[in-house]
Amino acid sequence: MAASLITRVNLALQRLDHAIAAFFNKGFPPDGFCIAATNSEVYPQPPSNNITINDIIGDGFLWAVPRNRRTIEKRWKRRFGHPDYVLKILLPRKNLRVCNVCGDDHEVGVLCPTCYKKVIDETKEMQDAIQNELRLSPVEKEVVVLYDGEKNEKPSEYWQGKRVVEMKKSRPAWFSKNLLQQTTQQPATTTDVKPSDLG
Amino acid sequence: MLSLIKGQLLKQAYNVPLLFQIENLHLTSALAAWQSNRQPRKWLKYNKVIYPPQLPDEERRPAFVCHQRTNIKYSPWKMWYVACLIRGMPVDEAIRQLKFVLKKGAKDVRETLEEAKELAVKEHNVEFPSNMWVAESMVGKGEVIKGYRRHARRRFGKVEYFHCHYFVRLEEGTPPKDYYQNAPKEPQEQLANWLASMRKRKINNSL
Repeated sequence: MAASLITRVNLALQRLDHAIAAFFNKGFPPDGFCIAATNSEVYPQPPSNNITINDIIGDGFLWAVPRNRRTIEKRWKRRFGHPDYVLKILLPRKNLRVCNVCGDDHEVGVLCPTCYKKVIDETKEMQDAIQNELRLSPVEKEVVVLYDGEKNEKPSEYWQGKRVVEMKKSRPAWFSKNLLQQTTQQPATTTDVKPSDLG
Repeated sequence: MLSLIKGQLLKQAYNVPLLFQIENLHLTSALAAWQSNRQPRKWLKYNKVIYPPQLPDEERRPAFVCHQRTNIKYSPWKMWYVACLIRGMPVDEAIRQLKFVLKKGAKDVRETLEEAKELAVKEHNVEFPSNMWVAESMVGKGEVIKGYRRHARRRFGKVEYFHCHYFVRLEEGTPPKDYYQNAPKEPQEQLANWLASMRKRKINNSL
């Protein structure tokens, strides 16, 4: 009877102990059970695929990035250049002149482009006329280019040893006849100098 | 639009007004969603400002015209050099200089200046179009069309096609001697300024 009383008291004390422990552990198992480990193999986890940026770019990450702020001097140098090296700012040009004939502007030392274009176009027309006239025959005689009404000014014997190319238009005002005078001329017999064939 | 036409045809066929659901009510084309039609408008509003009448002894306000050209296919950073060249120049001199500038944007700037001269005479009461100078000449960034291009070794590059807006204000009269006011002052002016600053000095808390 005493033994059962002692065991009953022991049991009661144990239960009290467990109750207090349970109260303080707040739902967790008692200390004796806390060593138990779970088997993680029962729950299959997906394979960890933590891909970092380093895997994609490798050692190239953070290479092409500015390290220091660009100073204002460097910015000015890039935008404006330097007079001693390469000047990037555009400066007004002082070598421009006005053409006396047409009024357009041109650089010093250069023919006025608008006037010269007229000459280029006229030359092209003359060349086309010569090409059409001569075609593939060899050029053995002197080739003379004439405009409207100029062939009748001279007698037909004048044109004997020459290939005449007629242009089907009137002579332009700026194209005077003496421009096509030949440079190789016979030495002069007289000392008088007379202007000839002025247009 | 198509559904409306269909409705009309049906109405004519059966002689009965029909009610039906309109499936597509698109008044603009689908391509408009990709386009940005925003143009800069503030610059031209300066032309519409009406100033109050001036007093007889007040200095006469010179006539001016603001003009622009938008979405020029040229880089704004390259166009800036052309815009800076003509600041403070008389208009005819500016047009003459632009003829000999070897840049793509120079052509557009020149055309804008010529248009501005005509507008000044027509709408802004300017008597002589040649009596004007370039008061302001600026560039802004316009539409940017983006794309990508391939490089070797599986690399890619971004491609950007820039457009720019060009703004110009022409004012009537002769231009000032130095547009940026950076020129050093004349000796007389420097002396006068120094004298004035010397005479302005005061001993604080004195009588």
